[in-house]
Amino acid sequence: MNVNEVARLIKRYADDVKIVGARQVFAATDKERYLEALTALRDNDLKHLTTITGADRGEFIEIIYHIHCGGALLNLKLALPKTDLEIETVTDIFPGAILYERDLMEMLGVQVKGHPDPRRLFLPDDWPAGKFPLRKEVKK
Amino acid sequence: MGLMYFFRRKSPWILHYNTGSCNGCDIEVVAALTPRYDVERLGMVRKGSPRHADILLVTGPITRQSKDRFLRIYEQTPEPKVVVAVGNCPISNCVFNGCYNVVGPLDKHVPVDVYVPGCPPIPEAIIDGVLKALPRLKR
Amino acid sequence: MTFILPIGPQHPALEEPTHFRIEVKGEEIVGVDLRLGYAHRGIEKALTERSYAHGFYLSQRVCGICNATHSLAFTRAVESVAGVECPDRARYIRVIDGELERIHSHLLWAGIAAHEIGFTTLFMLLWRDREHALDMRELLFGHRIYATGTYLGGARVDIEQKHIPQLTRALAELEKSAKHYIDVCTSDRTVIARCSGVGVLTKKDARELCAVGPTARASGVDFDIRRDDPYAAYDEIRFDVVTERDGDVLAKVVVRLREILESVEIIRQAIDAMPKGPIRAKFPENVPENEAVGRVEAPRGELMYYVRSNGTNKPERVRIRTPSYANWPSIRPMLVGGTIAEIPIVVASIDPCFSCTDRVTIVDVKTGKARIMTKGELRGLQK
Repeated sequence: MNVNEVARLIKRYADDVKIVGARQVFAATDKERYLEALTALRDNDLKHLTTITGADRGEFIEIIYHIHCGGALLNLKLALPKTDLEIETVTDIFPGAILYERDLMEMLGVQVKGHPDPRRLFLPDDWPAGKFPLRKEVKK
Repeated sequence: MGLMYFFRRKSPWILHYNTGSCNGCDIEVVAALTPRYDVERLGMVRKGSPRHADILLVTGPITRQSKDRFLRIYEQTPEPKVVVAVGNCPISNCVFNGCYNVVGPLDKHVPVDVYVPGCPPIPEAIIDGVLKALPRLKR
Repeated sequence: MTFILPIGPQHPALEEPTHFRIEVKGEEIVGVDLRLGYAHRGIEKALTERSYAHGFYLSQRVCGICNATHSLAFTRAVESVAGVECPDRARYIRVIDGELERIHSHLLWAGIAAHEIGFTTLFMLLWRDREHALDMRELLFGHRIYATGTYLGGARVDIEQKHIPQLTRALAELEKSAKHYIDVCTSDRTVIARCSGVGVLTKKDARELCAVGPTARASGVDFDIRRDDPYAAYDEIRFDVVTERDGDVLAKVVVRLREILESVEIIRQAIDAMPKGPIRAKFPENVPENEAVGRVEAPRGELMYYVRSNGTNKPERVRIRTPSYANWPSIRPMLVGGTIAEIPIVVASIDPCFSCTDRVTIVDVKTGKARIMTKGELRGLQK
C-alpha cells in the first residue's frame, strides 16, 4: 500500500491523519476505535508491527503503534490519560506485539489487559513496583 | 616460583569478561585469536573459567548488575592475576558516563594493572596490553 | 526437568550465563521461556539528556557490530525531524559504509555459527577473510569498527579517489570468499547435518511474529528496508532482496552469505555512480518541535528509531527498536520440537545482538534453581 491508500484506510478509525514525506502516515486514534483499526490493517494483510512506542507526554502517556504497510509506515497514536492507563492487548491481532507490550507495562506503567504473559521483561524481580524508568519523574 | 612464572608468562590463560559493553571491544578481542593476529602462537589461550585464568580482560562500562558477577569472578580467579581494562568504557565509562545504570570505571572496584584505551582499541593494542601485563604476574 | 541455557549477555561468542528457560522432556524441547535482561545502560533515557551531536556518538554505541546502521537510523530520523537533506555524494558514501558493515557483520556471524557447530577451522577462515572488510573501513573512514562514515547532515569524511583501486581489490577478494563459503555450506556434510532442517521458522510464524532481516527472509518473507523504505542512495541502485524458502538454519546461513555478494555489487555500483559535490549539509543546533521515524536495514534486519524534538538541542524522546528485539519471539517456534544439542546454533541463527536489544533495560542476572549447562557442555552434546 502507498501512503494515500494507508491514509484512506485509516481515516475511518482515526483523526488527524497526516501524510509526512513520501512514505509516512501519522494518525491519532482513540480507545473506542484502536482495536478495529489494527484489525482492519491486519485484515488487509498488513501484518508487520514494527514496534510499539510509549512516551510520557506530561499529562498523558502516548502510545504509538508503528505498522509497516508495504510502501508506507503508519504511526498510529493513542493517548491515555495518566488517570486511566488501561488498554487491551493487541497480541491476538499482532502476535508479534508480545514483547513490546511487556516493555510498555514495565517502562511506563501502562496496564495491558489480557496479555498472555504480563511478567517483567527486562527489569529484575526486585525492581520496586510503581517505579517506571521512562516516566519523566524518574531521574536516576 | 621462578619456573611457574616462566610458564605463566610463556602461556598466559585469559578470561575475557564483558560488563555491559557494546561488543566492539569484544569482537576485537576475539579477532586477536584469528589468523591475522593469532595470539595462540604467543601461547595465549582464552579460557572460560576464572579458576584457570592468569589475565582478566575486562570490557564494558560496568553495569549495575554485571558488577556483582564480575566481582565474584575476580574473587574466584586465583593469584597471581592481572587485570587489563580493554577499551575506554572500563577506563572512563566512555560515552556512557552519567548513564544511571553504569557504575564504572573499573578501577573503582578492583585494582587495574593495564589500561588499553581505544573505542575499541585495535587487536595489536590489546595484545600489547596483555604483553605489558605479563611481567606483573611476578608478585 | 528444566534447564537454563546460558548465552552471553552481549553475543553468543561470549561465555556468559543467561536468560532462556528451556523445558525438556528427555532430549526434546517442549517449552521456551525468554528471560531477557542484560546490560542495561539507560541509552534511550540518556539520549534525551544529550544534544543531538553528542547523542549521535551514543546511538552508534548501542552496538559495536552494527554501529553504522545505528548511527544512520538515528541520523535519518533526526534529519527528517530537522528538515535537513543530506547531499547526494554523502548518500552514496552512506551506502558504502552500510554495505561494508553488512559484509563484516555477516562474516562475523558466519564464523560464530561455524564455531557453534564445532567447525572451528571454518570460524578462523571466515574471520581471516573478514579482515578485508575491516581494512576497507579503516582505509576509507579511519577506523575498523567505529568507522563513522555518516554524521548529522551527511558524511563525516569523503572517500578519496586514490583508495578506490584498493577497495576494488578487496571487494574482489570478498566476493571470491563468499562464493567459496556458499559452496562449502551447501555441500559440506557436517554443515548440512547440523543446519539442514534444524530450527525451522515457517513463513506464517515469521510474519505473525513480525520477524525481520535474514531471519525472516530465510523463511521466504520478502521484506528489506533498503527496497521498501529506501534511504541513502538505495533507490538508485539495483540489487536483489535475497530470500530462501526452507526457513531452517541452513537457509539463514545461505541468505547471509548471498547477501554478501549483493553487498559487493551494491558497493561497486555506488563507486561508479557517486556524484561529485559537498558531503555535509548544515545541521541546526536547536531542532523545532517535530517527530519522525528513521528505519534502515541493519545486518540483522529492520532497525527503527523514533525521534521527537521539542525546540531545544536535545531530543524529547528517542525510541529504538532493534532487529534482535523483533526476532526474539521467533526463537520459540524454532526451538520447540528440537533437541537440546541444537540450542546454540538455533539461537545463533537469528544473529542475536544482546547489546542491541537491551539498551533500555535494567539487568539482573539471576540464576534459577534449575541446572545450568554451559555452552561448552551443550556443544559437547553435539559430538
